[in-house]
Amino acid sequence: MKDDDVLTSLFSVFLLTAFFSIGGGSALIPEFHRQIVDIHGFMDGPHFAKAVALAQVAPGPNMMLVSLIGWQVAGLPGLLVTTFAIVVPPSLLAYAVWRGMERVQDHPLLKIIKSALGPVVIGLTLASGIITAQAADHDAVGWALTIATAGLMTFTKRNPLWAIGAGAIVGIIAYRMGFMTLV
Amino acid sequence: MDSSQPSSAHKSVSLFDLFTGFLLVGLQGFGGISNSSHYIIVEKRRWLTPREFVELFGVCSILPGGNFLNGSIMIGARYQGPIGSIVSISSLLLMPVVILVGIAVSYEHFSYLPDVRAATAGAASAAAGLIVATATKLMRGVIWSVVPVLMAAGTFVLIGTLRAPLWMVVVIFVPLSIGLTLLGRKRS
Repeated sequence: MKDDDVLTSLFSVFLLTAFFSIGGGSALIPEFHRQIVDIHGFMDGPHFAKAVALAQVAPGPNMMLVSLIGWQVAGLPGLLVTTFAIVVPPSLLAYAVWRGMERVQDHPLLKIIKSALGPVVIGLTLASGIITAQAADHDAVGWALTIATAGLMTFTKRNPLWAIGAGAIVGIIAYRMGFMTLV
Repeated sequence: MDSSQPSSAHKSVSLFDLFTGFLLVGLQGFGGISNSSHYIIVEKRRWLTPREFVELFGVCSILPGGNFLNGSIMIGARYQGPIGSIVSISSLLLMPVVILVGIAVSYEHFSYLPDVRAATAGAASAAAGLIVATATKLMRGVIWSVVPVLMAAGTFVLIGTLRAPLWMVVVIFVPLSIGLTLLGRKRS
């Protein structure tokens, strides 16, 4: 595939996703996975899972996973194209809504839409976790790490970097002891 | 500082203030920027009162895009118009993107080492668990009855199991959930 074609499809994938992007970066992972891995084959599953992990290590908005995908698929032009596509359309809408904010802010419908979106975003985020786990976990060690992290982090407000660090250490130990094969 | 403070509308916030403020929100936002944005915007800089913060992000949470990215657009607009929006969102994204690329490049450089690959694989498994934990934490904020359970389960099956595209959720479950919630309110 020519470079221009890659950039064009990256742009259209993330532009379209931007309009349907409810629930923020973490809820969108299944759609990114579907487009980037399943449909276009820009990355394979394990690569995608590593990108998700690297994006969790860096500080900043969860949406930056999109920038990293762009970078890994097509370098700096890829990063600029994907970031622009996912950030700019919602920003224009947010600006327009800001101008009519007084009318929106106290509207009774706002509360209803918020409580109606809650369960949908939860369903999406849970699907994100499962799809990321299927891409990341290749053996019992991987699944045990995912389940342990999910369980422990549900009941603590600890910084998520701790979980990532612990996962990395367990990964090294499991590999050295021969429990884990590298993909 | 408390919520009895009526408004922060009198405050003047310069473009430079927006730049440094959102730069810090980005830099300190480990695991997403919900905590760091509250810390900088409400507690340190006092650009918004706690109440204004909740209201602003309430509106952002129903708009497409990242909640806090949209929030930076609105806060920038509030103090410095469209230029303020551009400065706010750019400074919010700048450092995280630079750091992320730095991490990705160092990973590519050292990924020939088996230990690095093992560590990344372990970190990826833990990251998947973190996302599951985000969902379970969100579950606490919902009053669960038949309709929310059906909406969450339906969305999960459609996306997680059937691997359907995201627009189907927006077309099917979002209007369905809003309609059923409205219906429930009217009956009670």
